[in-house]
Amino acid sequence: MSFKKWISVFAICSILFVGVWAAANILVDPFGIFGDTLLDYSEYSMTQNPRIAKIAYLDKNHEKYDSYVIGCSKTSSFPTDTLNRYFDAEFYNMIMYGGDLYDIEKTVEYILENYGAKNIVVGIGLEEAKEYGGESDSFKGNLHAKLDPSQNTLGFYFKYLFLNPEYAKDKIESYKNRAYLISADEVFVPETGAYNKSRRDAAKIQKLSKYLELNPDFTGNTWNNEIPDSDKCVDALARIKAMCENNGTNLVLIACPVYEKEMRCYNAEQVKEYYKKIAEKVDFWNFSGYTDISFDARYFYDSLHFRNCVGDMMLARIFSDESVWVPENFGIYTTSKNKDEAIEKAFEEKSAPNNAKSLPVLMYHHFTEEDTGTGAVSRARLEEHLVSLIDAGYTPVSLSDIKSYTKKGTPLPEKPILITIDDGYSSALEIAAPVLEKYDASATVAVIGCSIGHTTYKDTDIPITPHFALEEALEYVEKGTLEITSHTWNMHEVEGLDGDNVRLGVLQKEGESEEEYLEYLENDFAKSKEALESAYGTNLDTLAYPHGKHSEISEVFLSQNGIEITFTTNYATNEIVKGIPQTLRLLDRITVDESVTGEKLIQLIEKAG
Amino acid sequence: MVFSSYKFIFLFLPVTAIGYAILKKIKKPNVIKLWLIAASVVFYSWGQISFLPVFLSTLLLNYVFIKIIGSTEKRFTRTLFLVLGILEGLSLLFFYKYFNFTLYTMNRFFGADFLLREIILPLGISFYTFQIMTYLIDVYKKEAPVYPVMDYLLYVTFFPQLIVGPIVRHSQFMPQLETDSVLKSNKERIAKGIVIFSIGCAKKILIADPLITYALSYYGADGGSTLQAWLATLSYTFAYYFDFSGYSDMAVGLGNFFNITLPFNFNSPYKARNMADFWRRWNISVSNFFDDYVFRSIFRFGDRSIKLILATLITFLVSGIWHGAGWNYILWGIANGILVACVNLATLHRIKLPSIIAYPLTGICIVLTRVLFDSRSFTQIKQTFSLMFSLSAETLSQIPQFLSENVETAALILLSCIICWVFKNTREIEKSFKLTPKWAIFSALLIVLSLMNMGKVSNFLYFDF
Repeated sequence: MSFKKWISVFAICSILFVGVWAAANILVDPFGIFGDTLLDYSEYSMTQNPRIAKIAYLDKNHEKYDSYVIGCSKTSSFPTDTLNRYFDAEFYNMIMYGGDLYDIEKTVEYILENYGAKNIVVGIGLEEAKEYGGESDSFKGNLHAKLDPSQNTLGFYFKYLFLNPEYAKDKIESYKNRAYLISADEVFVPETGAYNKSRRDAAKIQKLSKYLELNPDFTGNTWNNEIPDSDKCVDALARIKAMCENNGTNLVLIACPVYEKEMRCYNAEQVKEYYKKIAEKVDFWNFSGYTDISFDARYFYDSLHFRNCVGDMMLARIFSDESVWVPENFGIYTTSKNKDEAIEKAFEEKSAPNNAKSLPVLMYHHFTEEDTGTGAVSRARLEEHLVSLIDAGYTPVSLSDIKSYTKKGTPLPEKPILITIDDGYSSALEIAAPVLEKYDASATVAVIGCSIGHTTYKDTDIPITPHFALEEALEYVEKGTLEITSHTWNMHEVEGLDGDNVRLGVLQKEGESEEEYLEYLENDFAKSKEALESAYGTNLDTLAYPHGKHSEISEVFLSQNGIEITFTTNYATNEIVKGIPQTLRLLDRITVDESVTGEKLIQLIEKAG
Repeated sequence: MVFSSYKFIFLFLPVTAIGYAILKKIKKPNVIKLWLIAASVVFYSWGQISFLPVFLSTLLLNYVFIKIIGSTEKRFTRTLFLVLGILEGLSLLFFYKYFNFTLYTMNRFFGADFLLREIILPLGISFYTFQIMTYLIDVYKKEAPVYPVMDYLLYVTFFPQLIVGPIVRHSQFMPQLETDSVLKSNKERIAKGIVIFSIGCAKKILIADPLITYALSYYGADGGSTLQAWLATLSYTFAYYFDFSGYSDMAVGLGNFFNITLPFNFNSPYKARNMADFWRRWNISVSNFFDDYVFRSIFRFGDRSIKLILATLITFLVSGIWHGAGWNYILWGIANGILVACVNLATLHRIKLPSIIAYPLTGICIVLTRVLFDSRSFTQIKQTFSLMFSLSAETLSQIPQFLSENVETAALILLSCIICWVFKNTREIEKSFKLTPKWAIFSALLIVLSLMNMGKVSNFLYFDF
């Protein structure tokens, strides 16, 4: 074989293999640049590089949106449905990790030129002023070449065409391993561009001390941050304003809330100067500085990112929505006219406010006229409990009261207490309700759906303690003495009565696939919801876990299906926080039976913390 | 610059090769040599220009010494400049490689309080210092003439061998320049070069790099399990071979592009029957250097056994020190010295182990001495040996699960075993090479697979918020 032929074979084969390599990257498309036709897995691509994959997505789908919220990771906490409601628009969230004002400016420019926009909401933190135009990573931190004149278009596509196959392998693996709970590989919702916080927002929020202990990020080392590129950022914001004005687009600029510890890492004078310079060029809503929000870590997922519920508050303040609790000093509209006063006020030193309330929750089950020695609480003991509680200064509150406290900031009594009764025995109506009524107290009854109105166990003849029918409770529900809620439909299985492989509360059974489990959970929940909502005409938003058993899947599922309050059976008191409805998730309860005297009950509550 | 990088493959190499091909047409050897020297200097300074003055000054200074030695018969002058040359080389090595280690040792063991300096080791210093030194000694011994400056510069700087060897002897390199082989047509050699380069590149990128990543997950951390210790040590055992021999293959392949033959540095070391045999097959150019300039200066044929042992131990002690600044390298050198001395003694007394024992025993020695080389401290050496020898029934029962969790590393080790023990090595492939489509397809596949895996994989930027 001649050298010429040999080298030709080598060259042809090399081209062929390179072609296969490029084709694989086009098909699997780890960054969503080439259409992602094979897997259509934008959640993944957007997580790899939101700057690129979101633009690729919007190029195909921008007709569905007329407004955009753009900014660094802090911007992830503006829920698009809240934005849509207030602005009467269709928002797309262009949050990008570590996005600086260069990224924001180029994105605004591209959107206005190519899609058009009714509203542009720009969220800024302080990190942007540290570096303007830096690129944290040439694959995952860069803009799409279409937006960024500093990138060579051919070089850009070449780079992603000849990616290390490790990227494609990771995407395929992630695709294969998709499950109900989103993984760290797929944190964006392609349709809204929003960061998927289904897991974060369903997680239990503990008392502050415990929360800080579990999230050491809040109390870690402080560092000194300079903001050398603040002038460049101000200029970029001025250019963004000019672009929006030229396009008739409404620009809303928001300085995002900053956790007190993060705030103290910056030189306050530099930050004030930066904000004043911004106000000279662009009016903006300032939610940073020292506010009632910035002191309590629970308003933040971590030391750099505020919660979605805080995003709701910010939008409520901007739109003067008084149905949402917003602290007085949270959010000041800052303009060139009021900048000195407004910014000084935002940075005034304040003491940490107390926006939290301790909430013990009691858990009862069955009641009897007399002490039967079975643990069922006798009428007299229940009366004794209520008298002791009232004497100790406790005021029974309802679910509506605690929801209202966390959402609207409606004051609660000095020492609120919540009474719950599980299972839905007839004795809750016959004995407990009249006693509660006598003491002007209320309770929440969690009923097992399949036992409603039954005296025998499910489809058997086995006698059980009688359970009331839903209509029987209507009288007390209307009076406000009882609130009826779910204890699941049929997920309170009993060993010995439900076969060998008994389900432990709402948990997945051994050998049950996630798909089968979710289908079961969905059907079970739908039955409870249908029965309770049609009986009382209210939305089902509370569930007490049978045996207190729960999992992350169950919490995410329920939270996605409108359940705002869940109960466990852990012995502890709770702390609920104004403005954070998630503090009503996984409320711990103190079990009460006949052996607990009035005096002991008070001791139990105090001991539970 | 490293060979297995896009910059080298798509920029440096094509420019150098095209320049070489054009200049060949004017048929002036010195112009080609100058081009290759210039290219080599660019190669050396790419991204590391701060080391260039050290390199060039030692290169030129030693040529002056060589010139003086070669131009006089006065013993004193010749010896003086030989000593100066050796001292210059050793001082450089000491300062850049062992200064901090010496201070650290004095602080640690003698209670001193010296402040360690931030000293970055200049690229290739261990190799080019020795290469220059061998030539200097040979000129002194009148075993080599004083070559023209252009030939000398190309001999030392020639980029394929500059950074990690092989340490080419002047007797292997210079004759090729004298016959002006750089001017000859080299089409078949280019094909051969492509094949050898692609094999070397694949060895490094496809096998060594992933194995090193796994090995580092154990050796770069504190603690681990028995199975992790074994897998990491095996990973390093093969990774070192594929990394180092891959680089040497690439060097040989590149030499072919310019009609210069460089020696193969490895000859299937894992097929060795004993540790002495292993060292004849592993990093051959360095082994030969220590053999010629250390071992043979102590031991001569006919000397007594004790001298043989002493020479072997000293040779490996020096080799250990040369390999790195750390007590673990010294320990590694001594351990190898003892093992080779045992083999030498056995050979002297005509004792030969049966193959069924000799080969596995050699394998075990190679793997265990690897622990000494790769550990960061004596504590880690102790811990790793203790983990590796605490194999229990419970640990053995965990093997299937462990392998399924580390299937890629396990598969690479299996593949490495097959390549090492079943396939021909690169030297054998080179000998039997013919222009056939098989090699064209094979090298195209290897080079594209290597290119695919050459691109960096960015760290995950996701922030959990």
